[in-house]
Amino acid sequence: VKKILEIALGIVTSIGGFLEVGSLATSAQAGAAFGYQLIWAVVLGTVCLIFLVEMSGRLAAVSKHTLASAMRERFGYPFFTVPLVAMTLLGLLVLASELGGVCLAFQLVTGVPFPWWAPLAAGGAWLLLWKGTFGVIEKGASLLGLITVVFVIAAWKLHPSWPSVAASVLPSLPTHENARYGFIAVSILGASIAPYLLYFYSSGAVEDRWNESDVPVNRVTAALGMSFGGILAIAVLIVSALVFLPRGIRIDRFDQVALILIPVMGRAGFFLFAGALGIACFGAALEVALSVAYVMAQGFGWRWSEDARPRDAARFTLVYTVTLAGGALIVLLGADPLAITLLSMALTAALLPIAIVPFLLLMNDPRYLRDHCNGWIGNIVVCGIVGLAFVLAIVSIPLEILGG
Amino acid sequence: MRLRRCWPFAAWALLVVACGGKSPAERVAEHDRTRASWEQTARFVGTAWERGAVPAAYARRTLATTLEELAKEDRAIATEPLPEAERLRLRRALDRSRALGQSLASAVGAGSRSRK
Repeated sequence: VKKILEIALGIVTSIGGFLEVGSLATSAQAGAAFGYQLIWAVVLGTVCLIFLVEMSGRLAAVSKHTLASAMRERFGYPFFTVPLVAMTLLGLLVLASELGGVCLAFQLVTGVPFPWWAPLAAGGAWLLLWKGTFGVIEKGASLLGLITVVFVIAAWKLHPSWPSVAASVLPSLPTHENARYGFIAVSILGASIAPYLLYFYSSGAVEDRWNESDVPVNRVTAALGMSFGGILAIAVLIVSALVFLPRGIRIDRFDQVALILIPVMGRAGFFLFAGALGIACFGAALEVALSVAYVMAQGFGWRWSEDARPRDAARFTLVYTVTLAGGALIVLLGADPLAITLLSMALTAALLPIAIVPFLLLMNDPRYLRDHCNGWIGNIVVCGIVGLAFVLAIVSIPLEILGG
Repeated sequence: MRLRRCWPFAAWALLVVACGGKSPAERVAEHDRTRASWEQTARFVGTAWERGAVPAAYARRTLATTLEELAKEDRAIATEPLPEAERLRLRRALDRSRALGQSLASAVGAGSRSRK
């Protein structure tokens, strides 16, 4: 019974924590510009994420190592500097976009311009990290994030053509705006396969003291939780396709996305969207700030734990404090949140090989995984999707920039 | 030797530059899409505001953004190399969209929901 409850809680928190500013923005853009046509990208991203999350949990449960510490130990410090720097810079950018999402939610409700909310959003996140435990951060924010299920209800009520939705699971070529199609596909993949999530997940597994008996629970939780989470992202895409595409509205600003639930839910839809955006982004901001601190502390061999008192893990605490301040500063300077989001998601996709290839090598090393090493299916699926994301990224990012 | 190492990057850069340019017809279509998108956004916001589905502050700000974006389009159309007949057509359509946006913004500013 305990295991079943664990699985249920794991699935619920995975669903509640799945949507964040990146998946919301990219799915909404995809639906508005290309209808259901980019559902395949959400599906591929989710499949890849299922494999990767399962792997990072398995690594932690079997080897008792977090991803960052195993990578540093296995490949040496000079090599580890590359993912460390990439993760930190990317983490800062992603954090800025998540904090931007929280601020935009406040702006929608109050009318006060979003940059003014940055200190409050970052301060709130910092206070929760300072005072809270890992369990509170992980489960609390994710349970509140269940508000995002509202997109599934909206999709259902709009009566989409289910055969067309199902047909879009298979990739197809665009009929117009090839560069934009590729760029949005890359951004969706980057939003789905977020490396910070892997560092967060493996650190969480070590914080929760997982062992080999947790491997099956981890497998079921990753598969079901992320699958249901992927359904949320698909629901956003479907609603966007049915609300914006027929009106000819392309998503160039977050303000436009706020209209997404109004045809189905009226005034309540506007505030539900603001609530979903704010809560989902706040939960993700907590995870990103913690991930940067985890990677840095584990990389340099400092003491780390979200459950430790701040003075007992002072450098770990300092990293998330500085990261949150940096993220807030970017928002405070008034950078367009949608532009930061899309840029950070596309860069994530381009940098995926740096984060994922060493991880795959680790997952095939019996010194860490003993008899729990990766099977060939997992290796092929992850390599294929990461390779596709990388190729799409190096082609479509410059094309999109050149095309304005 | 050094050149040999560089050729994949050079080929990639060449491909990107070759594919990155847009024909005048593509540029015109892009301007049409952008203008129509912002005009429809203004209509959507206006209707939602009339029905009381969005707060006035949101409607005001989004309509102001719409007018800014349409003004950007105006500047782009004026400077980009486009066929003259198309430029004229685009500017006329843009004027209509801006007039609609301004009337909606005025209605929201005055708090007059019975705009029609």
